[in-house]
Amino acid sequence: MPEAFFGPWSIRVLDSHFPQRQRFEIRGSDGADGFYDGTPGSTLAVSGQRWTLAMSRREGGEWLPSALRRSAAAFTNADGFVVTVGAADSPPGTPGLDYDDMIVVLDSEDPALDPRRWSNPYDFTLPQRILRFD
Amino acid sequence: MALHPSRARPIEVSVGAPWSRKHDLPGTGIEGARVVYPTSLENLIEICAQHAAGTHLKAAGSHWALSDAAISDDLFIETHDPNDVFPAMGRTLYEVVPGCLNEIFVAQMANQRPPVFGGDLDTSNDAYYLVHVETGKRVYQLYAELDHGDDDRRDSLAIHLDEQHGNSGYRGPWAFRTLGGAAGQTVFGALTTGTHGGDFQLPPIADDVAALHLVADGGRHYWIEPRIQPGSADTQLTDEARLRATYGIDIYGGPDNFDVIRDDDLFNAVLISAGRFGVVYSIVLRAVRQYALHEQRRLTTWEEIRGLVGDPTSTLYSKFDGDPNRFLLIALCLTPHDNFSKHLAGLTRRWNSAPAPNEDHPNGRAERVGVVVDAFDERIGGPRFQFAGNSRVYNPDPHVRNAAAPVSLLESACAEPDIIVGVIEAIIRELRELLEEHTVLVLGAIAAVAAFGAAGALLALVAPLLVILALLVALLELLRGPDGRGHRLGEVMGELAEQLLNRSLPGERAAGLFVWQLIAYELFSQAQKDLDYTAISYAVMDNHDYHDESCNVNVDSIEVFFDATDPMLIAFVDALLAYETRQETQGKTFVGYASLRFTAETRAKLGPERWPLTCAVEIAGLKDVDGVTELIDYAIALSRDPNFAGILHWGQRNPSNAADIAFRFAADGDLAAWRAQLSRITDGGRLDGFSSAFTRQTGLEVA
Repeated sequence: MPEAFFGPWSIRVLDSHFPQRQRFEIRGSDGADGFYDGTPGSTLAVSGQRWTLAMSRREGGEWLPSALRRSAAAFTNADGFVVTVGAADSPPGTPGLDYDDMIVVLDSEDPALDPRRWSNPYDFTLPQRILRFD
Repeated sequence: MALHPSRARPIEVSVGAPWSRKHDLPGTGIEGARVVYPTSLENLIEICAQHAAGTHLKAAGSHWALSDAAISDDLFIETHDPNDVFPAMGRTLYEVVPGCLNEIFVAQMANQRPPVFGGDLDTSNDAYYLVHVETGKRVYQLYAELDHGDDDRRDSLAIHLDEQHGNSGYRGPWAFRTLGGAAGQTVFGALTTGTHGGDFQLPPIADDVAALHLVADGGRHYWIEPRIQPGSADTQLTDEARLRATYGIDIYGGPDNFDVIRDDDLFNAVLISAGRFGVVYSIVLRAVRQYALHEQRRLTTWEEIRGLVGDPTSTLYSKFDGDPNRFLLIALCLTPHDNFSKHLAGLTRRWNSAPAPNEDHPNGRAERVGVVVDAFDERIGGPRFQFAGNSRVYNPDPHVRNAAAPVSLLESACAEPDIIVGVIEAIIRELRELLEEHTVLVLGAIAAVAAFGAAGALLALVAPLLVILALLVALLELLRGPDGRGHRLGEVMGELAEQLLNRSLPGERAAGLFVWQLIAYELFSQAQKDLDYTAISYAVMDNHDYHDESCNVNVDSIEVFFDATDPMLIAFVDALLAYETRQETQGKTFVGYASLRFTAETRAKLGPERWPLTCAVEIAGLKDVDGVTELIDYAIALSRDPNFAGILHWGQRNPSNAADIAFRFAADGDLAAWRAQLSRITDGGRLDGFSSAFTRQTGLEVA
């Protein structure tokens, strides 16, 4: 089942744990639809009101759709809004899947959601020596 | 439609007085509002049948909703006058329960043995009681009445089951299966907006409705039930002939003006519907045997537990010893500590427990309900209890087992901002120790807010911290003096934030932010300190202070619902924390309450609890403080963004538009089914008397 996203994102293939070739597919975007190589390090900028991400793997001479899962989502001032999607080589719902055949990281590029790359100018540290234990 | 001459009280009308909600700033409201105060089914039918063509109506109850869902285009129908001037439509009824119940259904009830309050804790015994109430009854009134029991009503179901079926097991106290965190709303107002508790294996209160009585535009009225009731095999709740004999009579417009409908789709559509179907006159509610809860609270950090939230099998959803737990609430401090890397979180769990000290005098009953002071109060339509809706939060005394503590500074924090005085005093002591003795107590706020490392950058702020210390001392004197009284907590916190966070010199700005973090840490630590106690169900679940005249005015709040297993929930919370960190460095801050509660899926088509494990993130702040509205606006923007796709609570600030609602409630699924039922009741949309600006904005219309 493809994962739907909305607005501008950048995609990066973070990791891969599958012996054969893999790829990801974008549909419904503003000009980025197509298949892309699933090798770690591959990147792509995608925008569009609603677009989908799917992943597939080469097995027995065919491209087979992989099961997808949003494995994590986080938001920090340093890194912004980041979603991680993993692929597994089994049908969705199969128990015990680790969803690490291909791991793709998506960074939101929407400034309304993500006023990003803010660095904190303050440092609230104290030297250990002034701690009092009684 | 001509109505038969009525025995009902005439409908009171008020025109011109401002119509406002509980949380609005005093003195604000809708000017020139036209308001009617029905007290009976006859009144409601008359209002809905005879309103002027082209005018729109909307039912309102306690005015607790912050949402525009409560706002009428033209005429407000008050089921419970929030000013307690006009009588409420709040009676408990006995004409249907037991009078119109299906004999087979009653026989099935008679074959059951409900648990005994104070007996064993077998939570698998799901025998329930039924209570039929008019929809203007407030939650605290009903939990008090349920706890009182029906033993002294000759016409009650409990006595009927005893005397006609030889089962005395339905005598005694009953309770709501679950409750929200406050009980001042009307029962129906709470449940029809999706109000829920934190009982993560239980659906919201709406799912305990067994039947409802709707009066629609035009005055036609409907008794609506699901096809069958839980646990009753294929047995219907009521006897149709008896219902028709009761409600299909001339004073209610005659037999042709009344329908009995047993249809899950219609029932599930009306349950949560922003008042769009009409006015619900009464509901039959399932109640469970009264029970006691043990509440346990521990302080931790968001960073420690955020990875566990999405896993229902994690230790977060069990007691600390691993045993089952029924309730989970995570209160969050949005202001960071540990050099901006952590955020305090108060973790509250609850589980069923034996009442203490015994079933005759369970903790919390005397303090939260008390004795009956008036057997029938005309204004509320029922018995008036000494402390129902008239007491502070139940507070166990940590030094005297099974006793309530006297009202403490913490409890009165909102009534008067005294708690701030205590916190500022503590922070001044710690700052003096740092600045004069160059030491920091390991368990103090400074040690928590700062990190310890080689840099020690805070030592460069000694001079600015002295300036801030002097400011705190001056502020403390002001708060202690005659001018410090009579201010709302929000006003005091707003002034404090302004002085600490809006410094023009960079060093003082850093020092002010550091001290603001100290105050936030100390305040939150006190409010969420470790707690263990057992009390009667409502004393634990109803956390509202009915004497509060400070924290609950000029409030802004939202609640956003997510699939608790969806990582987007975590990103949403993270985003709020990141936003607050940024805005505090820019002179603004959030003062209020942020929490996560968990609930199971509802049957209501438009219920925001749409997942087996649903998480509701509530953010409520004091609008006096610069930064509160900004953070809530940001939270709304995030939740409306389709990447997050949070669902906003119908009863709190909710600027969702029709596209938002269609996306979240499946325009070709639940929403379409809901609209089909609306079309059925409104003659294809022709009867649009209960349309409002809010229902049009959100697309809660036939098309």
